[in-house]
Amino acid sequence: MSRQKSATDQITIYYEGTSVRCDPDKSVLDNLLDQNLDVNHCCKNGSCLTCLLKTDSEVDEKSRVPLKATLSELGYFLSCQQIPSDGMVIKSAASDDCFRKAVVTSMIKKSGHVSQVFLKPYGEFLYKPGQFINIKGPKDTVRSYSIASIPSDNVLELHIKEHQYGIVSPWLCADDRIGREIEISGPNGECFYLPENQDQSMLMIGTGTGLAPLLGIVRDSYSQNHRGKIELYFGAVDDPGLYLADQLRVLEKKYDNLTVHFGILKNGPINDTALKNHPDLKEWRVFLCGDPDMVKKTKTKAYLAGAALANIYVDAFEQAEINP
Amino acid sequence: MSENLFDRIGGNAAVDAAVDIFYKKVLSDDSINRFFETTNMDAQREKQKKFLTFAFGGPNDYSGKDMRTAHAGLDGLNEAHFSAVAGHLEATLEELGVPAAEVSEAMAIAASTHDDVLGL
Ligand code: FES
Repeated sequence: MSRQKSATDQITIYYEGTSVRCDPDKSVLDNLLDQNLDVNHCCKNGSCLTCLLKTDSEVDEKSRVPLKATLSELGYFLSCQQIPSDGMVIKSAASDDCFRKAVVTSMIKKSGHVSQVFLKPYGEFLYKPGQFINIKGPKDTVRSYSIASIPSDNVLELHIKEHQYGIVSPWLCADDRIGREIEISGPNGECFYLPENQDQSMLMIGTGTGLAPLLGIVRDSYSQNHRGKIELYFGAVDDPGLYLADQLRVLEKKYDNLTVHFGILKNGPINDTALKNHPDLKEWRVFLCGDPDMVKKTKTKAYLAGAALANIYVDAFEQAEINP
Repeated sequence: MSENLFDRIGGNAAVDAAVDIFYKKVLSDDSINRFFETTNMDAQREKQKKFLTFAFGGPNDYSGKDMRTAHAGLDGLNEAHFSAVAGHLEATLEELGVPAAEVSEAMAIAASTHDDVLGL
């Protein structure tokens, strides 16, 4: 005796014209993926913004909060943060609404499989150093990268770690990418310098290419006359991973208030060193970028060390699942 | 004593002061902090604030059902964890100099969530 599952505990949404039966307890994204529909995604926790879809139906606040007003206005929402409602009509993100073209102007290969990649977007591109952009790679795969440059550089600088089995990073770092056009969207993200309380001490901890947003933030804070001291901790697994050590030493000479500390894993996690050196973070501004686990743990510890949550800025580099 | 508990304790200002102390106590307690580990600490702190407002007898939109669903996914949550959190609440109130009578009123409200929190 076979009985069909009761119809009442399922709902239907419409994606790009096809109806999709949904599990009401799962996100829109997971429901679409369960049906083998190809939807861009990465972190599934609302931070990377790659899972943008469009709808005219009501959506929950949390699936819009991280978006810019302009995108919300156009009906975009984060499909990983939204549960489906019956009859919802959803469209995929029309690429021309949010993606634009940019040219890869140059590239510098560093140690530890990291490349500094320089881009020039067509037209005006407003951003805050430390924010991130999304890049569309092969097979429409989208990945997020933080901005290490400042606006007066007139070029966007990204630090890309090449992942052996990655989809976007080897493609982007290939030598023949120079001079070619790519598609980018953004900028997004709230991890950047605000020119208030300029005597405030700032603690910055970055692991791996988590250094990129921090470099942008340090340079930005100086261009905006930040006077408080900056303690920058840069950690990597091994020496080659400290790919920008030379440039940081130059920066340290140039800026009086900046102290840079380097750490490799065998000497203990860099975040532990930093918190040991600065046990009292009351009144400090804290920036944490890179490995999500490091960011999460250190955020808690920084808070317990007295930093106010509003003064802690984070950029967690979520890794996309790698499909074998 | 015509004022309600919430006003006697000090209203919103008291909740703001309490949430900082309370959340820090909870996060520093290794027997329970795994339940509070999250990347979104701001949202978590807001939840603690809602809970404290509720315990202080203040205006809130906390229902027993919310309590139930909010805690349902927490694997291995038991009596000991519940008393640990209650203990932190009591210590927080004492640290803030809340009079003993008000402390026990707040503790009684918190205790009323026992079954919902533990899913009994
Ligand atoms: S924001 Fe939805 S997948 Fe990252």
